[in-house]
Amino acid sequence: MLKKINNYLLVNYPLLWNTKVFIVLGVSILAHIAFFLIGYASYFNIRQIYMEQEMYAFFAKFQVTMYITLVIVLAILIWLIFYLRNNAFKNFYPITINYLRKEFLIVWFILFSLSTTYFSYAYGKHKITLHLTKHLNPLEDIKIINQAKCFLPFEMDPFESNNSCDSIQWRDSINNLTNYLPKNNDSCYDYSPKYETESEYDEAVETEMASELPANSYEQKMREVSYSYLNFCSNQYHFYLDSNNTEVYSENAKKWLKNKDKAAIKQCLTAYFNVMAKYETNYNANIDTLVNWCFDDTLYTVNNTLNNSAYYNDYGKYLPLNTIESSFLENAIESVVTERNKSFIDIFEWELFFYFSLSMSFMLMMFRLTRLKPWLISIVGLGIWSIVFAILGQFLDKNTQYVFLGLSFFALFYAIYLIQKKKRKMMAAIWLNWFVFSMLAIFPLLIFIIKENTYEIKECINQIYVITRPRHPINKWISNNQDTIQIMNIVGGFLLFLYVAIPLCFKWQANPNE
Amino acid sequence: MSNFNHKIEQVKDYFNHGNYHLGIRRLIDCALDTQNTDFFKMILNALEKQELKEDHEQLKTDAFDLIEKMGLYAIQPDAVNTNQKLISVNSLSKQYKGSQFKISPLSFELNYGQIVGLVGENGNGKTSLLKLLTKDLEPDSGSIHYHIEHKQNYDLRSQLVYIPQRVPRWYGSLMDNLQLTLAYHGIKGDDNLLWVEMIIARLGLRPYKHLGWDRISSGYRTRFELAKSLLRRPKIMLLDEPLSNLDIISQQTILQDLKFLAESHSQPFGLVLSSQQLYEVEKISNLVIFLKQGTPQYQYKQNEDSHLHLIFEIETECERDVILDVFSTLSVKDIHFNGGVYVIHFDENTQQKDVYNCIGQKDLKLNYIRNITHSSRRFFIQS
Repeated sequence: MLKKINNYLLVNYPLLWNTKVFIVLGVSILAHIAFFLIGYASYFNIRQIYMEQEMYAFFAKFQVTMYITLVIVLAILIWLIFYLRNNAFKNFYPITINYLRKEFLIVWFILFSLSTTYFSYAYGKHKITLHLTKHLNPLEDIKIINQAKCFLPFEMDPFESNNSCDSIQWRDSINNLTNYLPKNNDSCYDYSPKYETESEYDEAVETEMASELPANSYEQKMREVSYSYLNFCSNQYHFYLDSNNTEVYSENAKKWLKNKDKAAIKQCLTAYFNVMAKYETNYNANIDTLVNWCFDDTLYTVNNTLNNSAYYNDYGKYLPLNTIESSFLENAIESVVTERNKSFIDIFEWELFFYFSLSMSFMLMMFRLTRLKPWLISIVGLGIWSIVFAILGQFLDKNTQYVFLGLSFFALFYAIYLIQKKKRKMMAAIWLNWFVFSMLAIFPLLIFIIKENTYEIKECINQIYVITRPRHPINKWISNNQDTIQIMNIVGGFLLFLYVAIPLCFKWQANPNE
Repeated sequence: MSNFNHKIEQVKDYFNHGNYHLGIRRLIDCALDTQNTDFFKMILNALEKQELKEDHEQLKTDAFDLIEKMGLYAIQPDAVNTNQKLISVNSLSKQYKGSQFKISPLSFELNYGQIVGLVGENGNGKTSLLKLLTKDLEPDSGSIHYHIEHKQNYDLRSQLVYIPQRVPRWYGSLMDNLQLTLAYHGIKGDDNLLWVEMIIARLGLRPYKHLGWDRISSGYRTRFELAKSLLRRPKIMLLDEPLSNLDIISQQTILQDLKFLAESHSQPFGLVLSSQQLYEVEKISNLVIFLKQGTPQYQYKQNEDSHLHLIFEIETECERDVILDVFSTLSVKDIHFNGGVYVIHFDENTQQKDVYNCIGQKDLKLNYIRNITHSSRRFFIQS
């Protein structure tokens, strides 16, 4: 059967036969299915999903990626062995420019379909994650976590008076105010300082505090306590996935603490531990103990802290008393939310594979259309030039990209000149290859140059940044349309190859050597 | 009688005289001329039967049956007039940069069905001339005019088929390669297989059709390359030393085949071939160009220059004095001996029969004798 199909393609569709596109397509579909299944078999429970954050899991994941890469590389190499056997163009078979265009598109398709098998692996993982976590409601769970955080002293800092929501420092920081400018400092700041010196600022803070709070008031006493549950500010320490109305959590906590409402706090912590159980995270803590910690004294001083990760000893993992794997819980929720919100058509990832397959197609087609020697010279030359460009970029600032861009277009026009004049065939091929290889960098460079020249310019005057040239609208457009620009770049690469490089190669091939 | 009918009559003669091998080759040529795939099938069936049971009488019966049908076949007039020019080369010259070697101004014409032989010692510009003709090299002066329709240079070059001395390696079976070549040239479907089978049969490659590069000899690789080139239906075929890998029998067969195929009724082409096999090339060439250090010392067309003085090449154990004595009654202008053979120049009035008479009368013991008056062999003589 396969032999018959092969022979049918051979005598009826030589291009399809020679590129082995149907065989590669079959292999590619099988690889996609296999990698999807491998991805789907990655997790058997929720804990495995977030444990990937751990180091050994990272290496396991890296290993899988390596295997996938190896399989892809091997498949491409085997395909190349068959594909490179026949070359109708170099043998002057009666083909047209359109034939070469089709060949290029097939080559690109093959490379793209093989290289994107990694997506199937990722998609398999995505689907199993959704399946295992379908019963979870992470957004509700986040609220529970954020509320419970007020009573979970993993570290002392969040409970320090200077970090409380009504501290002057906090207010200043959220208002983007620079407090004072340090003298004899080369740093530059975005905002005008509120005070001239540090001591002036400290004095102002003290005055403000004194004027805000009556002497011997409860709040005044609180400020004298370094670490208190009342100081916890949810605005600063909330789990970032829930950013609305965060002040409610610290307000609730203060209310329950002041009212000695142990039942409410216990209910809050019970809900938290239930969430931990749902996400299969471990803890070794007693709820009543945690509630009692809050009421150690009348100022709700934080006297005890919790561990947030397990220890490993000779017998394996060890979870000491008062340990809660809170970071795992947050990782778990983050993983679930990320997977749920993940758009499988992540343009950046697709662009990356488009770029890869397009670059490889350029290299391969130019190898097919020109000759090994000019092809190698161009690759080595462009490599050296890119290094020189990168080094020069350190000294000459932004002018090097003009040179790079200029040389690419010089390469194109010189190649066109030589091909039209039927002169120096080898040199024409070198310059043509040079242009094709640098083609993928041309569009981003153009965008970079436009962006550089239209960006707002700030200068440091008396330690304050002052805008000396405002932002140009085109810069804003470029920033807002990064994906469109990348897509245009890829499409531009395709069009340049199809309508400039291929016709030039076609003409070049028939030119005499000397 | 048309060219085609003449061929048919020749085929009958071959079979009647028991020249089955030649007969079948020429029969295939006739079938290829008709371009009728029904005839292809009949020939291939006959060949299959012959391979199963070597029965020449059966083959002859099948062949005559086919000849009868082909004779009734209303064949189209010749596709191309064989007097039609293919290439006109005018004062062509080429010198490599940094080299003293130069191809001196050279002119000739090539028509459909004609063969130009390039002879000369190694390094005298034969391959360079072929590369100039394939447009792989640009001449310094002079011109090559191709009387072939083409829109772009690529189209032209796809009609000039050049086979280098060293046959480039191919992958896969011989059959697959030929089918692919033909598919690229627009013959697809069932016809593809029939045409390929016919060319394979024509060049005696049937037993090797499923073999790859590693499993066939260099001689058969050359034949394969020829088969591939013929399937490309070239207008001009340029062969660089095609005989170098072939044994003496194969050389003669291939050259004769090339002559037949170049004169094809439906797909004639012009052929330029370089070779060291002087006599073999001369036999089939309409024009021989002898290149000595890039200079075309001699351009010879057969049946011309009949008034040239006689030159004979003989190989004998006898000494020079004995030879001079044998030809004492004739006017010997010059005699050369290269250690192996003597080359004897007679004056313009000496007749060929006089030379043979002298040899007969004096009973000169000969190993070999050849009249090289019209052969470019005489330019290979070192004084």
